[in-house]
Amino acid sequence: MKTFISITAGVLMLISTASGAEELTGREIVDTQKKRHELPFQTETVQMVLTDKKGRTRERTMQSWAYRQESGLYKVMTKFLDPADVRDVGVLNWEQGDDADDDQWLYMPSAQKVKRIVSGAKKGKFMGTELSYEDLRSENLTVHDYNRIDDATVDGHECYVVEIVPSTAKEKKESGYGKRIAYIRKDIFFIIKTEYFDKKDKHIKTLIIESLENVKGDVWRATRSAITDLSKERTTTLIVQSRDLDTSLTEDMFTKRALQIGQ
Amino acid sequence: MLFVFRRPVLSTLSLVILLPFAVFHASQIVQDASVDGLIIQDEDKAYYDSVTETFGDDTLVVIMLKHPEGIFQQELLRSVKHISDSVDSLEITTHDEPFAVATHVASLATVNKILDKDGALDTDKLMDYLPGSEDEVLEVKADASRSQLILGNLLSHDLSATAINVYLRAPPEGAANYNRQVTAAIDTILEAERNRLGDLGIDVEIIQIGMPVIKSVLADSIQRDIILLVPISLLVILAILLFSFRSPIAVVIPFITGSLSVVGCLAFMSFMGYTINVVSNILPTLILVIGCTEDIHLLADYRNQYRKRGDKLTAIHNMMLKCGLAIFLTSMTTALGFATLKLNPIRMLQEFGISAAFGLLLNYVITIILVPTLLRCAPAPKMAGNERQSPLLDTLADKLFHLAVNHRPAVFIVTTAVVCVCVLGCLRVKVDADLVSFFKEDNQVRVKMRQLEQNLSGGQSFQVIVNTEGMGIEEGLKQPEIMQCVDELGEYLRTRFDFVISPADYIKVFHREFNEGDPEAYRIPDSSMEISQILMQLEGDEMDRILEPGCQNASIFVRHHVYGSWQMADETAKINEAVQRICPDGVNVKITGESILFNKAADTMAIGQVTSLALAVVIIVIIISILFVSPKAGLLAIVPNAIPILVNFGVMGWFNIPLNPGTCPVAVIALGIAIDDTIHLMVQFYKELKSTSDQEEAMRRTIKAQLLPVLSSSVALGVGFSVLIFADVVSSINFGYLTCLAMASALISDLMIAPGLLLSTRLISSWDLIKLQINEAAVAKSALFRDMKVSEVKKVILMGVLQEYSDGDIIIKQGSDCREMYLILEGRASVHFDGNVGQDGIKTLQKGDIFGELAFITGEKRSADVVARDRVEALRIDDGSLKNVRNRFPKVGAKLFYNISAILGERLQQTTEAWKTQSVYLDVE
Repeated sequence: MKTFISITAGVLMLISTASGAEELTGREIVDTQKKRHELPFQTETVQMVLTDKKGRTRERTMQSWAYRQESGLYKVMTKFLDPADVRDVGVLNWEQGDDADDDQWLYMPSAQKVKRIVSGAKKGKFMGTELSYEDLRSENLTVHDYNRIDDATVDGHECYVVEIVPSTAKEKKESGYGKRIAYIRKDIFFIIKTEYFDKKDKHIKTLIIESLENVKGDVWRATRSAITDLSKERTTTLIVQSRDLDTSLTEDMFTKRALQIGQ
Repeated sequence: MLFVFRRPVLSTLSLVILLPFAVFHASQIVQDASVDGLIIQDEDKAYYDSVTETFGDDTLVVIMLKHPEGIFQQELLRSVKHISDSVDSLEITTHDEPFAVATHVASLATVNKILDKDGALDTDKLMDYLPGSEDEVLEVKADASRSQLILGNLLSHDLSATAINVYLRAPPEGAANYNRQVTAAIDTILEAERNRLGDLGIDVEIIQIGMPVIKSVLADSIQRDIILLVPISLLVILAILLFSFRSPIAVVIPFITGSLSVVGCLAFMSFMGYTINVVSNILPTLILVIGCTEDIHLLADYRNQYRKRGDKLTAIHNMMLKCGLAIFLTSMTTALGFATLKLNPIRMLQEFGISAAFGLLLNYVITIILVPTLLRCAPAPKMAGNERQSPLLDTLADKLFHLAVNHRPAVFIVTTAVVCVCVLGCLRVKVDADLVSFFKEDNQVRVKMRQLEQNLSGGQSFQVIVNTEGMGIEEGLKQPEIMQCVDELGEYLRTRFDFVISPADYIKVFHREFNEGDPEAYRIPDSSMEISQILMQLEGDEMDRILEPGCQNASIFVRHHVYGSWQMADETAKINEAVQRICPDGVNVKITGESILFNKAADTMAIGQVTSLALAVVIIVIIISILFVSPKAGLLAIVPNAIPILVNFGVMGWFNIPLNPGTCPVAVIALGIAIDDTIHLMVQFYKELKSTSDQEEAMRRTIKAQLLPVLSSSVALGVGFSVLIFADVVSSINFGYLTCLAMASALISDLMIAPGLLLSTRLISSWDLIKLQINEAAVAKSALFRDMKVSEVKKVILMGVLQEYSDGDIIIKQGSDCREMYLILEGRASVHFDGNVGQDGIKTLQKGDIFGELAFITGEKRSADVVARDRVEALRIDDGSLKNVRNRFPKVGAKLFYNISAILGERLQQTTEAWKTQSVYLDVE
């Protein structure tokens, strides 16, 4: 019952440029990629296709709005458009930063009610997808260690490879992962693949950005990505149907009332 | 059979050559404790497979942790998490490949909660991480004890026990040791945890129970039973043989034939891909025990023959001739009895039936090859010059005869009473295929199952599947009235079983907690939209196990401790009634699960049992009817054999012994063995009838001759099977009791009821019909047999009494009044007038010739002497024989009497003519 900044960006946004790339540390690489692709607001319409191991699929479409506060923390609202019976079900998320839990609310139109939801857990899955809530949060650099390991080539692209390991006691306890390995394209500082390992170092999930586009300046966004649970053989595919990075959003659009009455 | 006698070396060599192959295959036999062979591959099984495909495998292993001071202690919760994690990632090696075992692990460490906490909805994991402080432990405890989706299933109501429910993947193809491997691997995990807690000074009870445990314990029990009981039953039988025959050879022979037959049978099973399972584990004992009866009959006859002839080779030759037919028949009928189990739809019983039939036929072959050969090599039996049967046995035989023949009404009344009691018992027989019923009450499996059901919920489960496809709308389960019906069904099931969970429960709990825990909101919402929206919040592994994503199929998962297929059948009937009451049209509800399939297997097993028995009875009636050329003989033979079967079912009914795959074969075994005694009795009686026309005398001799072999074989069988009473597997124990009982009732019925019945018919054998050669020219000339077919003539002739004459014996004396006619079967005789028997006769009679028929019809005095010219075997046909022909073969009788009338008519005419001639002469005078 938590939501996310941009479900398509994998791990997200940032501006700034990098120099002396070859000497970059893991943390610098991730910091660079985060800052380079960050924008103050965005609106996206995304189709989710959930495929189980028998090939059965479920489809959903949702729209999300993200707004960066002055503190740098985001407020994000997500609403379902389709199927019809879940239309307008919405989730509002206020990022709290550092080790603090986010504030979250759920809106159920059938009950005409907004309900605050407890958001301590990170391992829980988002609405039946293979994404856990922690996959959807923006990368929190204060609670992880970033170890650069040998570079690799993914789909013909030269990549930095960074091993991301929880560093604080709280994160170690709450995270479902023992580590993640992120593959970051050297040319655009964009994560195109992430491998997730459990606390016994078993590879459990893989996220692959299948296609991406340059949306503005140095800023890139995924247009199609897929995350696969290796043991359950289930995949969630996210396909961006539309994206608006220009229309201004205001903070008052991210309130409980807005969640209930719509944008 | 005589081939074996003439070529002992060749016959024995052929066996010796085959032996290494047999030993090799026998050693390859696979032991299988799974009960999959019980489940019938039909549409219900296919449905079950489709349900497990949709909702995930339902093979459940429950790991229970119990601590008297409660389970909510930091280290215990750590153990729950350790175990959950270790089992979830558990892999075993099959075919050199790692194989992940668990499909889903549900425990306090993995389950989600749905709770309103200070106005906020919390749907996170109950234990998102290991509680690090006492406060966190208390919070988990408070959350868990508030959650009705957890209580009773994963947590005992007194909070002292918790379960880790592990759902297992189906084993990969050919992984025979899967259950053992999984059980052992989980045990290792548990042992490590036990040790860890032990080091911390925490004494916790940790148990593992579930199908794989049950199956592997069962496999161990089967193995133990085979290793321990087969040699014991062999020893017991050999001891009885030693006691009965007081000769080492009588021990050595059955040991060799029995062991070889067991090896051969195991080799056959291995070759056919059959396994040693809960049913077939009794096969080695069965073959040893039943197989030795043939040896007993052969050895008993060998001793008799040796006593009579004093020559070993002749005794062996005669033994083969005399017993050949009987043991062939008994082997055939017993094997056929087992083969009828092929009709049972349960594969395990089919394989058992075929293997037993093969084993017994093989035993027959091995017996007829080895017994004469071994007897040849063995020293002649030592017996005092004129050794007689034990006087005790003679007295017993006389008493039995007296009772069976002279107290027929009393025997009839007692029999009828016993039959009535047994029939009433039969109506009470319960059918059962429940695996747990294979264990004794104090077995660790039962103890663990009880611990589990006392603390949490029973270890058994089934699913009630609600399908809405018939309603013609998509996502039917999102309709409030349908989800309401799922809820009502769930509530109904909750009144009858330990733990019930359905999608409706999740929806109701979510609805309540979304509304700040308002008890009024604990219901299915009124709109389908609200249901959809709640369901979207609940999506995940847990929900996938009870609601199919398309919302057309929901599973109501039920945990219970109902043991016994018949009880389960009662429950299923009640559930179906509730479904009729609760569910609207278009909603299709089906109950499925392994226990339901076993239950169905039990029903079909019962039907299969009736079919098998009916077929066995029909086959036996046909065989005996053909053999003794009389349907009456066939029907009579079945009466004493039906009684052991009735007694078997009667006792099962009155003593609550269920009909399960273990006890199911007893009835056919009882029939197969009882019919052996009847056949031995009938063959003996038939032989005795040849040497005396007095039926009662023949029966007296029959009982005397058969008492020892019938008694000793029955005792050997009874005692041999009774060893199974010490088995570990309950079905084998019941099998032991029931077969003992069946042997005893077969013995009593054959010695006390069969004689009375047999006296009411006169036996001829189709064997003789074929063997009998008559002089067709002589028959054609005989007016008695005018217009009769050869087979009809044979029937008349075979109603006679066999008489033997030595060279020079007078068969008919001229001038005597006797009225029999004769047929020469062996040897020659000559006809003489006026006592000139020393000279060449006026005619020589040979094999097939008939003589004396005129006096037989007319009653006039004999006109010549008939004298035996070497050893003559002749059939004597008298008035009694004629009556028999009339009763048994009315058509033949009619022809015979017509011919007799014609002969008498001709005779009258001749007399009249003679009288007329005399009158004319007088007139002339």
